Amino acid sequence: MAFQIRIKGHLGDDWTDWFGGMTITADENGDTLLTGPVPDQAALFGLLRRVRDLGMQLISINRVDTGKQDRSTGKP
Amino acid sequence: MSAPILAVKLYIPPVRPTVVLRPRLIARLNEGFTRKLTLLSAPAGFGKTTLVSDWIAGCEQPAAWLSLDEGDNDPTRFLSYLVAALQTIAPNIGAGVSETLQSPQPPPNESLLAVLLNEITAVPDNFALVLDDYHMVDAKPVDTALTFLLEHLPPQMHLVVASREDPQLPLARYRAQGQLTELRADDLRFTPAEAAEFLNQVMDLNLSVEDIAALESRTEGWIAGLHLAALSMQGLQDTAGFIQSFTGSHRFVLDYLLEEVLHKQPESIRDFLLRTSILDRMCGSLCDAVLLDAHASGQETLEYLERSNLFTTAMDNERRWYRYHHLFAELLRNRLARAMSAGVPELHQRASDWFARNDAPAEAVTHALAVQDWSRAADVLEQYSSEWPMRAGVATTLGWLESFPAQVRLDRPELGLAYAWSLFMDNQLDRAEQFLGQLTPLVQSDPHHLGEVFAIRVMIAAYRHDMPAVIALSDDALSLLPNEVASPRSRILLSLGVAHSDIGGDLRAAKRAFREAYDVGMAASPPSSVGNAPLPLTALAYLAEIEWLQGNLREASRMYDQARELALRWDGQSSIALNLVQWGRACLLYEWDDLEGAALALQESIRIGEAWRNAHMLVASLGLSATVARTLGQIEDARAAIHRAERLAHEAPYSPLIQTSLAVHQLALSQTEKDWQVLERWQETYDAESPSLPARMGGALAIALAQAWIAVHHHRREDAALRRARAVIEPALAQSQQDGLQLYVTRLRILESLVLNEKGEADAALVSLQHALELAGPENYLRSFIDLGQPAEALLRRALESQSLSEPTVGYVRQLLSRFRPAPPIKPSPPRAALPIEPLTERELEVLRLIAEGLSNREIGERLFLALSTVKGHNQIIFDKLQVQRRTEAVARARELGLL
Repeated sequence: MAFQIRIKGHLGDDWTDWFGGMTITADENGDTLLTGPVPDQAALFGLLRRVRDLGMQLISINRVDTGKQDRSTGKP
Repeated sequence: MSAPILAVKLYIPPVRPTVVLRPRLIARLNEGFTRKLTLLSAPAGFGKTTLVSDWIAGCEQPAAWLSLDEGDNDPTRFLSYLVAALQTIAPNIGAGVSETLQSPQPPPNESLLAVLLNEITAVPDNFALVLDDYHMVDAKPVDTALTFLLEHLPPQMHLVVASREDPQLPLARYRAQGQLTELRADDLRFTPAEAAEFLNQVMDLNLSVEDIAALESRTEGWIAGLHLAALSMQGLQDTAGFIQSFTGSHRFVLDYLLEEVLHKQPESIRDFLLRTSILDRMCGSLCDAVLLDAHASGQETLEYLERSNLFTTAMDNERRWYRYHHLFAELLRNRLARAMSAGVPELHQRASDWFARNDAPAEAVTHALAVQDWSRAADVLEQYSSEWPMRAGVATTLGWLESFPAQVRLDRPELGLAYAWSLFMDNQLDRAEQFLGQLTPLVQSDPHHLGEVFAIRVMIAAYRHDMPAVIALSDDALSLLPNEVASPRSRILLSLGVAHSDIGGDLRAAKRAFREAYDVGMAASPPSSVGNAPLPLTALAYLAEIEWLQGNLREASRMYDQARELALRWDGQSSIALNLVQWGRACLLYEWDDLEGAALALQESIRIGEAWRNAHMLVASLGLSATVARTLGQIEDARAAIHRAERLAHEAPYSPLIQTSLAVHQLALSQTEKDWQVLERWQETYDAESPSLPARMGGALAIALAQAWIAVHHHRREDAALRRARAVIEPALAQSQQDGLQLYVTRLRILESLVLNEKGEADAALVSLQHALELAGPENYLRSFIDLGQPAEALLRRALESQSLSEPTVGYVRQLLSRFRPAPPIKPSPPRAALPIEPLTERELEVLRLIAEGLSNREIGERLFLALSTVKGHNQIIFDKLQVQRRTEAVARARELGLL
C-alpha cells in the first residue's frame, strides 16, 4: 500500500531517509507531502510517530493508488 | 532478583530561575487539585513539564514525580515505580506490594493496587502524583491499571498526567463528571503577553511589539519554537532581518530555527550537540569518550549548555548526569542523520564501549544494537552471559537476543546458548528445543558448546518430567563428551541426579549422579557454576540430603559443614545451593535437639529462599520453623509461620514436594492445636496419592500421619486411631526399607513400637524398640523420640528397667530420657521471637550492612541509588522487624541473630 502524508512546513530532500525513503514534495501552501509505499499499518503508525516526535503538525493522511503515485525512491 | 529503582525517574525537575510566570495556568492547576485528574495533553515543546514543575515548586501540598519511559510498558515495572514514587512522600507505603511484585507469580495488578490504595487512605495530607511522558506507555495492562487507580482514587490523592497524545483513559466520562482538568495545546501556547515576557525579559532581547507578534504568528505560540527563535537572535544585530527571513520562509519551523541556533554556536559546541544527541543520558566522561575531543571537557560543556538555556537539564542533584529536552534531542538526531550519517555508527560504538567499561552493560548492548553492530552487542552479552537473565530480567534479555538476525545466533554459539537458556527460563520449551536442534550440528566439534546444548536439553526433559528422555539424553551426552569438558559434564550429571531424586524417586541412582557431578565439578579449575552457585556446592548439598534420608546423619552433617566452607571460599553466600544446605542443617540440628542452631539456620534459609523466590524452600523452612517454635512453646510464632507457609503453598504452582512439606508441619502443629480435621484431610490425600508419590515424600507424610494418629489415640483413647496409625506404618516401612531410606525406617520403627505398646503388646513393643534403638543410637537420633512425648518416655523407661539392653544402648537411652524435661530457654534470653516472623528482605539487609559500616543515610542512598526518603523508609521497616529503636541497636540485634 502507499500513503501520502501531509505535514505543515517545508522539508528538504535530505529528510527522505528519516522518513523511510518516502518522496518529499513541497507545495505552495507551505505544506510538505510525504509520499511512498508503506509495508503495513505498523509501519504507518511508526511514521506518524516520527512526525509527532519532531513536533510537526499532521494535516492529513491519504491512501494512494500504487499505480499512479508511486514515485518513491524505495529502499533496496 | 529485582532491578534497582533509578532515582532519576523520581527526580522532580528543578525550576529554572528565569521562567515565564503563567499565573492563569497555575491557577487552573491549583483549582484542579480538587478533581481526580489533571491532564496536560499537547505535542512536544509546549512547556508541559516546565509548567508542572513550576506549579509543584509553589504548591503547598507534597507531590511525587514519575518520568515514564518505554520500560514502563511492563506493568510490574510500572507498579514498582509507582510505589517508589509514592514512597518519596510516604516512606512506609507499599512495602508489601513492592516485595510481592518481585515474586515469580505475583497476584493480579488490581489486587495489588487495591492494597496500595488502602494504604494511601492513611496519608494525612492532600498530595499529587505526576506521571510525565505518559505517551511512552502504550501497553493496555498499564492503561487498565491506571484506570483502576483513577476509579478508586482516595480523596487526598490527585493525579497529573502529561502526554503528547490523549491517554487511553475514560476521559469523556471524567469530563462529564467534572473530574477532569484539561490543559491542551491551545491553553499552553504562549499568549502574546507571555511571548513578550519570554523574549524580552527571560531571553533578554529587545523586540518591538510588531516583531513579537510576527514571531508569535509564525510559531503559533509554540514555546519550543519561540525558545529556538530567541536563541537564534541572542547577540544578533539585525533582528529585524532575521524575523523577516524567518517569517517569510515556509520551512518547518524547528528545522529552520535549529539550523540558525547551531550555526551561531562555535563549531566545537555544534559538534558536541550533534554527536551527543545519540545519548539518552550524558555525563562528562561519557561525552568525552564519544567525542574524542580535547577542546573542552564534557563536564564543562554540559554545564555551559545548561547555563545557556540550550535545552539541557540535570537529572540529579549532583550535576553528574544530564539529558536534552526530548524534542531538542530528536531534532539534533535528525540533523545528525542528515549531516553525518556515515559517522553515526562510530558514535554508538564509542558509547557502547564506554558503557561496557563503566558497568552499564544494558546500555552498552542497546547502543550496539542501535547500529546493528551484532558483533559488538554479542561481545557484551557473551561477557555476562550466565548472569543476564537475572541481571536484566528474562524478558529484556530475550528481547535483545531476538533482535539479532537468526544467523548470528547460530554463528556465535555462546550467543545461541544464551538464547536457548533464556527461552528455557521464559518457559518457551518447544522453541528452545527447536533452536537447540538447529544449533547441535553446528557445535559438534566443540565439546564445551556441545556439552552446554545437552545440559539444557536434559533440563528441558527434566522440566517436562520425561524421565526416559532425561536418562537417554544424559547417557548420550556423557558418552559423547570427552572427560576434559568438566563443566557441561557436571551440569548434566547434576540435572540427572535431580531428575532421579525428584521425579524417578531412585535415590541410589541420584546419589551416584551427584557424587560424580561433585567429583567432576571439583576437578575443573576454576569450579564450574550454575547461576551463581559453584556446581560442586550444589552437588554436595544434594548429596548431603540423600545421606540424611539414608540415615547417615553424621555423614550428612560433615558434608553440610564442608559445603558451608566451600560457600565461604567461593562467595556463594546467597546461592540456591546454600539454601539447601541451611535447610538441611536445620533438619539435622533439630533432630539433634539443637533448637537454637536450627532456628539460626532456618533464618538463613528463609532469607535466601526469599531472595530467590523459591517457594519450595520457603514452605519447607517456614514449616520447620513452625515446628521449632511449637517445641519451644511459642505457639503464636508457630501459627504465624505455618500461615505464611500455607499462603505461599497456595500461591505457588501445584507441586507434590511443596504440598508434602506443608503437610508434615501442619500435622505436627495440629497435635498441639488438637485440630484433627487437618489429619483427616491429609490422610485422605495420602490414601489417594501415595502410590504415585516418590518415596521420599510418601515416607515423610506417612510418618507425620502416624504420629498424629498416635497422638489422637493418646488424647481420646480411640482404638480406631491406633489401627489407622498401623495401617499407615506397615506399608511405609516396607517401602522405605526397599528404598534404603533408613531415616524413615528408624522413625517408623519407633512409631511401630509405640503402637504396639499402646495396644498392650508389651513384649513385641520392646523388641521393636530395640530394633529402633540399634538404628538410632549410632547416629544419635534425639527428637524423633522426644517429640513423641510421654508415651515414648514411658516405653523407654520400661526398656531400661527390662535390663535387656546392651551397655552403649543403656547410655543412649539415659541420655534420651534426660532430654524429656522441658527444653532449656534459648540464649540470649529475650522473650521476643528468636525466630523470624518477618525476615529482612535482601534490600533491607543491604541497607543494614551499610549502616553497620557506618555510612550515613545519604551515603547509603548514593551507594544504592535510592532517594534519601526511601532509605529512611527502609530504616523504619528494619527497626520494626528487629524490634529496636536505633541504628546501634539494630546492628547489635542483627549480629545476635547472625544476620551480619
